[in-house]
Amino acid sequence: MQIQLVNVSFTYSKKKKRAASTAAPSVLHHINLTIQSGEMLAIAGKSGSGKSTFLQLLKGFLAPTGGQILLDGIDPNTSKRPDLFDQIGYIFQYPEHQLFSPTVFEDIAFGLQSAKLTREIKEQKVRKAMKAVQLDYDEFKDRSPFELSGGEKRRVAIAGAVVLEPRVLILDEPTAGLDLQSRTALFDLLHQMNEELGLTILWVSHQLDEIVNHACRLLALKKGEFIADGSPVAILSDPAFLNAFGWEEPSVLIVSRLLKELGITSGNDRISPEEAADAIAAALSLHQQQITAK
Amino acid sequence: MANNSFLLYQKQNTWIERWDPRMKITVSLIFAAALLLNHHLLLKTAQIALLIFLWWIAKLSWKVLIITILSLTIFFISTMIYQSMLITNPGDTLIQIGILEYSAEGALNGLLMCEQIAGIVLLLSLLVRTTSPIILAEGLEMILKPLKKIKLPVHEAVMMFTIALRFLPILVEEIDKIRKAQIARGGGFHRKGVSSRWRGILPMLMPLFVLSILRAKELAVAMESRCYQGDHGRTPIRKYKLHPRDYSILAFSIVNLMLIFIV
Repeated sequence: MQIQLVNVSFTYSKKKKRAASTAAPSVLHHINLTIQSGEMLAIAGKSGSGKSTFLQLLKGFLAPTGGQILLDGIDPNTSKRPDLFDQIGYIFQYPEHQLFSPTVFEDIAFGLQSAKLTREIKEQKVRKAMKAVQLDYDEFKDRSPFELSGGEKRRVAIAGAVVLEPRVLILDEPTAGLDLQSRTALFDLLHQMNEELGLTILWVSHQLDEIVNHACRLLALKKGEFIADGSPVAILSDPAFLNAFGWEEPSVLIVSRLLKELGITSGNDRISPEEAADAIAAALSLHQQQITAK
Repeated sequence: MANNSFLLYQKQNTWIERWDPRMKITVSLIFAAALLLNHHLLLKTAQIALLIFLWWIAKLSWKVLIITILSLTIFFISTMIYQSMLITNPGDTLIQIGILEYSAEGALNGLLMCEQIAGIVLLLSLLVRTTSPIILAEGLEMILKPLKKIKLPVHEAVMMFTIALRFLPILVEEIDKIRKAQIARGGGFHRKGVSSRWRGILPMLMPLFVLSILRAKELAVAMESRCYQGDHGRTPIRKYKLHPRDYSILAFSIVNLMLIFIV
C-alpha cells in the first residue's frame, strides 16, 4: 500500500496550547512524503519532535488539521472510509501491556472476533500469525499470556496485529526494554515479514546502529519537520546532521569509515561486522608478513 | 493524547493558593455548612456568585467551570423531576412542562437543591484546584491529628488519598493509550454495533487493572527504597503559620454562616 502525505499539518487546538507547551509541543508542519509499498523505514527524532503524532496520523487516530493523507490515492478522512486504516497495523510501545485474555490463542484472535469467521479459518489465521512471530502454536496456544517472558509477550502482541494481515506495520519503539537476543530476533522477524509478506514496516527508533543495520530509509524528525529523508548510511555519516541532533556516529559507520581511511577496505560505506573482522584479519596478517619479511 | 490537565492542580501562585491549608479546609467546611443550611434562594445564589468570583480570583479557566457545571446536568435534571413528583399541590401550579407540574414550592425546592449540588461541587473543585495535593494532604493530616490518639491511621489514610488524587491523570492517559492499542488490533470492532463495542470492555479493563497493580507495586518499592515507613519518626518539610489573611477569611466565613440565621 502506498501512503502519501500531501502538505500535512497538525496542531493540537489553540486553547490547549498553554498546557501543550509544558508537556510536548506535538505539532507537525507541512509534511510532504510518499511511503512506497515494501519499504523498511525508520523514524528518528528526539522526544517531543512529533513522532507519535505522525504515527497516529498514519493510523487515523488523529486527523490532520491541514493537508491530506492518501492511502493508495484515497483520503480515508474526507471520503468517510475509516476502514482503510484497518490495513495498517499499529504496535504501541510496550505492546505486552495490552494483553488481556486467559490464553494466547484468544488474545491473538481478538481482532478476528468481529469478522465472523469459522473456527477453522480462525485457527488457521492464528496459526499463521504465530508462525510469523516464531511462536510454536501447540506449545503456546493454551498458555496464559501473563506467564510468558517479556520477549514472548511482545511477540504475542505483535501476532495480535499481524493476524489481521495488515499491509503496513507501524511499531513505536519496538525494541524498548528488550535484551539483545530478543532484539535481534525481533528484527529478523520484521525482515522476514517484509520480504515474505511484502509488508511495509515503519518503526521509531533511538538506536542509530539499529537504523543503519535494518532500515532502507530514514526519516529524521525535528520540531515537527522532516529535516532528513534518505539512506541511513548517507544521513548518519554526515557530521553536520549528527551535530544538529547531538548524536554520535553509529559504531558500524565509524569502523567502516576508519577501515576505508586506512585503505583496508574500499568502496562500501557500511560493512557488516563479519566483513570488518575479515578485513582486519587480512590486514593484520599482511602486516605480519611485512614484518617477518624485513 | 488526551489533554487531561483540567484534572490537576496547576501552580499559578494566586492569592488563594497562599492561604493556609488548615484554614482553607476549615473554611470550606464552614462554607459547605452554610450552603446546606441556607434555604433562601437569593442568599444561596449570592453564595454561588461568591464561589464564581473566587474562581475568577484564583485565575482558573472558565472552560473548566463550564465543564464542571455541565457534568452535573444529569443531577440537575433528576432533581427537578424528583421535586415535581414529590411536592404536588394541584391548586398552585406554577409551570407545567409536559407531564411535569411544578408548584411554586416544588420549583423553589428544586432550584435550591440544584444550587446546593452545584455549590458543593464548585467549592470542592475550588479547594482541590487551588491547593497542591501534598499541601492539601498535610493540612488534612494536621486537622485530623487529634484522631491519632484513638489509633486511627490518619497519616496512612491521607497518603492514600494523595496518591489516588495524583494518579488520576495518569490513569486517564493510560485508558486513552489502551483504548487506541485495542482499536489498532481490534479489526474495526469499535465501528460496529453495541454488542461488538461491549466486547471491547474487557480488553480495556483487564490491562488497566494489571497495570494499576504493577504500578502500585512499583510505587511501594520506590517509597520504601526512599526510606518511607509511614508516619513514624517523620519530620515535616514545610512549617505552616497562620497569617492575618487566614484569620480574616475564617471570620468572613463565620459571618457568612451567621447571615443565614439572621435573614
